[in-house]
Amino acid sequence: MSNQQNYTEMIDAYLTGQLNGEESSRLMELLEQDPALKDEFLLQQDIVNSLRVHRRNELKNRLNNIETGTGVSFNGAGTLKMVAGTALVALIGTGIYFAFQQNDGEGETLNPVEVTLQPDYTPAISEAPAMAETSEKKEEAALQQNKEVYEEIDAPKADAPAFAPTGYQAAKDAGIKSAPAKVAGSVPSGAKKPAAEPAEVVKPEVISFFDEQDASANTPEANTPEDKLNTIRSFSTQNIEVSTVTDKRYSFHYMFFDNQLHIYGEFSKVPYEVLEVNTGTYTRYFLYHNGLYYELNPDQRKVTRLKELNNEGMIKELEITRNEKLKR
Amino acid sequence: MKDQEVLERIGRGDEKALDYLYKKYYRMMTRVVTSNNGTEQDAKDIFQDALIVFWQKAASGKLVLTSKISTYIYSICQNLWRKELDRKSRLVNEAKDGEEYPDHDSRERVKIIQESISALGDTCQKVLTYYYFDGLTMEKIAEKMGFANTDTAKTKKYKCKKKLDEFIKSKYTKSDFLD
Repeated sequence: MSNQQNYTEMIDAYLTGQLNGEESSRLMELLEQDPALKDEFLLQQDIVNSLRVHRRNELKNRLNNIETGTGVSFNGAGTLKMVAGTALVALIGTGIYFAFQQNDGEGETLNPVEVTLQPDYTPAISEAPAMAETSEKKEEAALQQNKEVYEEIDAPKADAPAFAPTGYQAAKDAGIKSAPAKVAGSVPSGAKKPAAEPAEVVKPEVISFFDEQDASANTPEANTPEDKLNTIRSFSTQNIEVSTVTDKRYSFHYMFFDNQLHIYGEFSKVPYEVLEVNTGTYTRYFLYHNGLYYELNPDQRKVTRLKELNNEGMIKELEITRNEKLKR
Repeated sequence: MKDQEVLERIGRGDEKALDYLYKKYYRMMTRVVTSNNGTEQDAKDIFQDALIVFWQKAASGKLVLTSKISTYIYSICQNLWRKELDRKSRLVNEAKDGEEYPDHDSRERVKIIQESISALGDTCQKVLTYYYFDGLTMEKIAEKMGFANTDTAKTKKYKCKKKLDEFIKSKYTKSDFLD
């Protein structure tokens, strides 16, 4: 153990770029010879990288909270609560929808889609933040602050330290870029096939509410930099009709206008979700299917192929939303 | 604020300089992306990332600026966006492999570490992150945190790091037992 203590400083210096070439080589040799030391090195590397990620996210959130005209942004634990709250509401809405299902006969041949949802949700909308709080506590944290957003690793992108391990390469790419407004009004679309009707149009329940959160009030963290407080968020989901269409010409396409979304393809085996992200100034729509996200243009009058979403930040946020929903 | 003052402030770790740059150049920098196949959201992300790159370089004293700050940041934005476009086009051509994530154990460990960092006191978090990310010298950390002197900062950093290490190790071992 004392060997490690001696080398702690050396490892630290290496990780902060303070060792010259010769010293670095020497350290690398030592690591090769001493597996325990190597383990310690790897751990320290992870710790230093995580500290960097933490700080980077902090700065990113700080910038995100600065008014530049979109007017909506959020951060840290507040994000989680809002996302969880929305997901909860979406679930309730879905439940209500299934209770009052309606069918429309249309000219097109439609494929009914069944989406498996977790039906065990409970309280009213206003309790959403409390629910999120509970789920947070359930997490491993016996800690006071549990900034789950950091679960998603976000290492410095352009200025990565040379020694960044492969694990972080992926994390780097997948980092959270706190979008100005997230919160998906999750509109899972699914319909059971009734005996008589061959065609179905799914009408999601209209859910409109506003959830204002003051991060400084709700977040118990003393660690929050003072500048990062006072974030106001609001969101609503609009009424979108979703229908699935089977057409030989189009294997994986969509058409979306006047709040009517038609998706073309084989959706009966793998369920899909339609997600709506609403900032103060614009709304974005996404389709989640089979592990991938596709952005939907709400003014897409011509049938077009579904285009994969590659913005890692957005993907991360959508993932959180969906996973929060599934946890319940 | 003139460039020189901005740089001086960043050198001290004054985050208001960061805010200033963000507001001042938001429109200009986001255009790099929005005028080149990017959405407003892409642009915002890229600009924020670029600014943080700039911040880190400037705060750690590694920056040798031979142009205006805006020019420098502009080119960071261009580079980042170009990389992002390349990455997007690659992903479209190949099937997305989806498993870019490190293995489960690594993720678990990182999660434990992140939680431990969040559990640190405010001062420790700041000292450590200023040291490891911003790259501020002990002197500057002492100044920024209001410590008595540089040695105080050094000691604080040492203690905080030790505390963090021990905390992590204790949690890590515990979860091994729980496996």
